[in-house]
Amino acid sequence: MEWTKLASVRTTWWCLGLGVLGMALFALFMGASAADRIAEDPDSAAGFSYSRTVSHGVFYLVQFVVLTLAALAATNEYANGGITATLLAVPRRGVLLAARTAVTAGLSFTAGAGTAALGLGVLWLLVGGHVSPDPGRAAHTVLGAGVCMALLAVLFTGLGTALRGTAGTLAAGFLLLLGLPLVLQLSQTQWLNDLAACLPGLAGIEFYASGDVGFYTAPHDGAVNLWTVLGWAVAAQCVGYAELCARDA
Amino acid sequence: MLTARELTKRYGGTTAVDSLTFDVRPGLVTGFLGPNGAGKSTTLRLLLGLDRPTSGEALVNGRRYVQLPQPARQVGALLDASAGHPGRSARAHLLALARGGGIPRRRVADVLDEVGLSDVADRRIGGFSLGMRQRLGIAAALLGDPGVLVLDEPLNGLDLDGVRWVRGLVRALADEGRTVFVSSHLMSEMQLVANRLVVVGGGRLVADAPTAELIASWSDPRVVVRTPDPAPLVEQLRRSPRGPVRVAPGADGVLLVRGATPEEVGDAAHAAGARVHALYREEASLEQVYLDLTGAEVRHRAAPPRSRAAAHGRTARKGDR
Repeated sequence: MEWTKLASVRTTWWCLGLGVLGMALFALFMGASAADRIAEDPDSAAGFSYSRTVSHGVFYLVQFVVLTLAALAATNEYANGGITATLLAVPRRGVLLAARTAVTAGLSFTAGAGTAALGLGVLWLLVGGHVSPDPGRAAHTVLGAGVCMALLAVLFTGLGTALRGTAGTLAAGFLLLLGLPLVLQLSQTQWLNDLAACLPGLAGIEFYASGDVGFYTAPHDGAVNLWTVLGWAVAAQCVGYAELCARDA
Repeated sequence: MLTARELTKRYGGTTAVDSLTFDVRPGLVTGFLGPNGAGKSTTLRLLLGLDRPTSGEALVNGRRYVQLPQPARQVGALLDASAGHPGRSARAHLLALARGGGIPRRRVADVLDEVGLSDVADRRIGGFSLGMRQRLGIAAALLGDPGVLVLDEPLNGLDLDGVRWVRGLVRALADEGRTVFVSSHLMSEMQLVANRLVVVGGGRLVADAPTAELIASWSDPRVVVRTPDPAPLVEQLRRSPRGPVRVAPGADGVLLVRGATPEEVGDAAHAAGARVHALYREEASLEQVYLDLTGAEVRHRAAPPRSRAAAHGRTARKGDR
């Protein structure tokens, strides 16, 4: 049901299309300029990282596509009244939220992994002559981006279900993913700076870039960052579920 | 079968539904009447598990809606705002509901056909007229071939053709033994189609009775007689052996006689030698009964019309009929 609903609305495909296009263009520019740099100064090849470049594309572009998709999936029916028909067909709130979450997460996994693979491919075409990618790290980036995008979808589906407004969900999403970490890092206070790594956006990129983010993010690498994103996702789902059950539709 | 037991819903300090108790039985069309803000929609939403009652029970086939196995195959509902995404086609909208409700997908084409939307099934709902949306809502309600139908204002936005279609549909559904609960503001339609009426006002139950009984018990049947010789007729009627006959002047010079049958009035006129130009029995319509029942409970009352003369004109024309 949730898949039919998501797939039958043009917005979904526009969002995904924009994500793919954005990543392709981003990789094209980054790859072209890296190739130029390396051609001028072969030593700079050592500074080029497939993983890092693609992760930036995911962080700055794809995760906002996922945010928009999840926010719309969770909230649009509150705006157009469709929630009534939906709850009549599936009156058990938990089943509805689980289905909605599973569908957006699945789509977001595909979007994350797909765009990461696309970005790697485009970079390889442009820079492959100078630097070859490490297959292990490339695979980690693709899968990591997929998993993180899926978890972000879980997070924002939960948050959107709790807030019920598309604008509010998008605003909260931007703050969590980009606004708050930037502000915390601007503080130039180390513990606030470290705290930024506990937010889902930075913890996510730390994970799918395998610690090689290129800007300071977290005091720690590895799986702990994935657990951080997972924690956010679970917490948002709990709040969303509680709201969905307690409040009248 | 729908059941409300001491059903109560409060929003903060406002009581929208105040210990309502009634049953809606299968095989009948039950009308649900009440002024704006009387708690009709809230009651329907409570029955359908969309809102939670503050206290009391709202049951469908003896269970809470949320506990029904495959609810979409047991209950079909048309509610005011059950529209859906404007960018989705009618077919996709119904297909999604069918998938969610465990309903075979061929039902989608069936109901689209039944409500007459097959031609526009692949157009986006956003471009639909009010009447087409209403038909789509009815299609969604019929999708699971349910034994219980809850229709909130199904006639909204429908043209005469649509109104006649819904009338037939509602009748047919009840005749098939289904439970049909319909809210409407159109009294004449309700009088035509509903076997039974549940009337609410200010969140409380005002009446719950068969339509005919309700009209009969509340109506104030009277005989309207038009005569150029009122004086002898009034005199004759006052001497009626049957007891108190009340005569009042009506609009346009007619006499309104209460407490006598048309036959008795005719005989009295004959005995008095009064000429009679018109003589008929006038029964209260559901509209009048409804106004009497809910008069004290109306929440949003408009200011009286500015021109009293105009209002008089209207009554006069009505009396003339």
